[in-house]
Amino acid sequence: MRRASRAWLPALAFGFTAGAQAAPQDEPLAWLQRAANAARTSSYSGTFVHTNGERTSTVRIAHAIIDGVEQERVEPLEGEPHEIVRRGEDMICYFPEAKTMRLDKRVSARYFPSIFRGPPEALAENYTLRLGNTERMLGLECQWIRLDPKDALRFAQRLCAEVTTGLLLRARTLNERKQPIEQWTFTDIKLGPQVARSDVKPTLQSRVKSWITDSQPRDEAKGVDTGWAVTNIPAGYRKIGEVRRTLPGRSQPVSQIIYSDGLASLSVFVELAGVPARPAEAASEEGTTSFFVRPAGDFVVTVLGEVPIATAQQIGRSVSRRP
Amino acid sequence: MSDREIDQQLVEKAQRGDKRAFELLVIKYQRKLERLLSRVIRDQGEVEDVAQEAFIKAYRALPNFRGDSAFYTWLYRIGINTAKNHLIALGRRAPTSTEYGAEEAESFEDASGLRDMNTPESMLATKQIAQTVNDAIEALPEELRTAITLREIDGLSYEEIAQIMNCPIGTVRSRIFRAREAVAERLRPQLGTSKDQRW
Amino acid sequence: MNQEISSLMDGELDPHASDRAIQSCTGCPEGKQAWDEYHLIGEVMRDGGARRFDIASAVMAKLEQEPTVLAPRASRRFPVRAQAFGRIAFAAAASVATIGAVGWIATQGMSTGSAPATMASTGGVTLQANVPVEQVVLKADPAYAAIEVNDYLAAHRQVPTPDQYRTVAARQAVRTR
Repeated sequence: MRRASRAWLPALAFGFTAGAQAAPQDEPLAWLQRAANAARTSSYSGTFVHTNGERTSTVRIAHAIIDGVEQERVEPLEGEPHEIVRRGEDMICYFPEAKTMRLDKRVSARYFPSIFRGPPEALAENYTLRLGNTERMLGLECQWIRLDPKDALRFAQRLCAEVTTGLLLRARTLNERKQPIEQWTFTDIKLGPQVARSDVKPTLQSRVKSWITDSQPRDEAKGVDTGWAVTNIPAGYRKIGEVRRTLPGRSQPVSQIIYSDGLASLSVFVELAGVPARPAEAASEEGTTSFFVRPAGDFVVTVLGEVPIATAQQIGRSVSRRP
Repeated sequence: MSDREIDQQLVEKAQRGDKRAFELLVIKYQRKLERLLSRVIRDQGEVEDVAQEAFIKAYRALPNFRGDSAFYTWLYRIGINTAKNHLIALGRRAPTSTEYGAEEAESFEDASGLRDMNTPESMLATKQIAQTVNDAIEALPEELRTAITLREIDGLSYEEIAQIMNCPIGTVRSRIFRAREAVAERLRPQLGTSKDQRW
Repeated sequence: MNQEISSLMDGELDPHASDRAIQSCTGCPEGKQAWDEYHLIGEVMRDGGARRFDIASAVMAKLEQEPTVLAPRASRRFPVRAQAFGRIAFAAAASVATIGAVGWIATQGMSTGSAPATMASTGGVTLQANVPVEQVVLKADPAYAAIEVNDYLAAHRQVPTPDQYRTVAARQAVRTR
């Protein structure tokens, strides 16, 4: 009966209702599950600021479920105007200056507040989960959730979930000295019924009369074996994807294997080395982003991810041809 | 931290992706660069273009800046090269390297008598700004005037000023700040730019 | 706040405090204005005159279009890490770090201003169709050759989720009018 009555609710209110059903609990894992769920199923609209290291960018995001389909509008507020609109798994990028609408069916990406890279249950293996303080933020009651790593292979996280929906309004990554190195913060937010249907509609579409549509089919990438393997996977990280893709300016495809501990993730790229080949290992960090490069015979291994440099190094050094 | 160390800190921030740190360097050195370029290029509009170009070149070259020289020495070298290329492109004679070399850039800080080719309007504006600042300094209470003069003219550290003025360093810090604020207050209408308009 | 800026430009703050003061300068218009005015006052006092010459906003507007430069971390601050590896200079656009591939592709399409050139896909996933005309390669010491990191970042940011692997053969490309 409950299910049937939902049909009468405005579609936009659906997520809000679903989120509100789960009463606040004392269990941190339950909070993480609500946060992961709210990011995908609830309605929200707002502006967030992302700081990684010393780079900052501001993004407007609106998210809603309309007629059962997840819809999202993402608009970076810096640089050339453009916006990204999601319909289910399809993402369309409107770019008025170039009169281009790009529909790339191979690209699907998730943004804050959808930060989880897998079911939150796995997080308990790698992080000590605790509830922190409650705090009022943007006029809303929020609960801090603390994730402290059980080893040095990942960063500490501080997540702040709005109490009634579970939606994350803030996320902070700390380094080993407990200093914030990356942060996502909503600076304004509307939740549930406050979100208008029009918030998730493209706005730049109307600015240009004729659009060049640039669409390409998404290839199926199921079960790609790149021929490369990581032998010394850092504890708690699991392979979540393996693909072979073409990057711009490269004639040869690049192999990519992705690992995640449920929150942090890293990509291993293997490709033919350029000329001249990089002679030695090299690394760099910016905020939470670590970057590690290692020559491997005729190939070059690149590891990039939101992990401590040691984790990137451990993975990067153990990449080898699958026997 | 010395002046050079502050610049270095700003450079490092910019090298790590903070463009706004670079903006502080632009704000700090734009007038000095303008004066340097005015000696080489007569047209004021061209000076502005070249100065902008020099800053953008500096930004692009920032990853290569290793702090072997002071930032402003490095910037001035880029400025001079940009000006030379500009003049060559216009088919005019470019100054030889000995005329405006890096050594001069290094000692440029104290160069004077450079404002010889200003337009009447800019001369007037320059004079008015100088007048306002001087009047405002004159009008300061004695202890504020002494503190800011010892700092800006004599280049003394807060500790040295504290000894001379026989007061705690915290007091020096506050006096210099209050002096600057008082002068800036008088300067704002003069600059014709309210807080919101300028940025 | 402005007192911190005043102390900052006199070099009278420790590195930590000066870091905070720099953030107040960059963080709000008032801070930036104070930084500007205080320097102007000093110049007038020393040199007897200073012309109003304000190109900072014009320069910054132009830099808006530039990829953010990233140089190796200063070894002074992170001595242990810097010694462990060689150093990389890389350039990354901030928007790529935040929203990843989709925006990057669009931006590239814009900056080239040309029709996208389709690259051959060899059975795998073709990530990007258009080739950036101008790779942001920073000239540096050859040992620290710069790396175009945007491609990697973009590819990394759109990590395939399990549901992305499902068969999509039945889907039709959406056409706009």
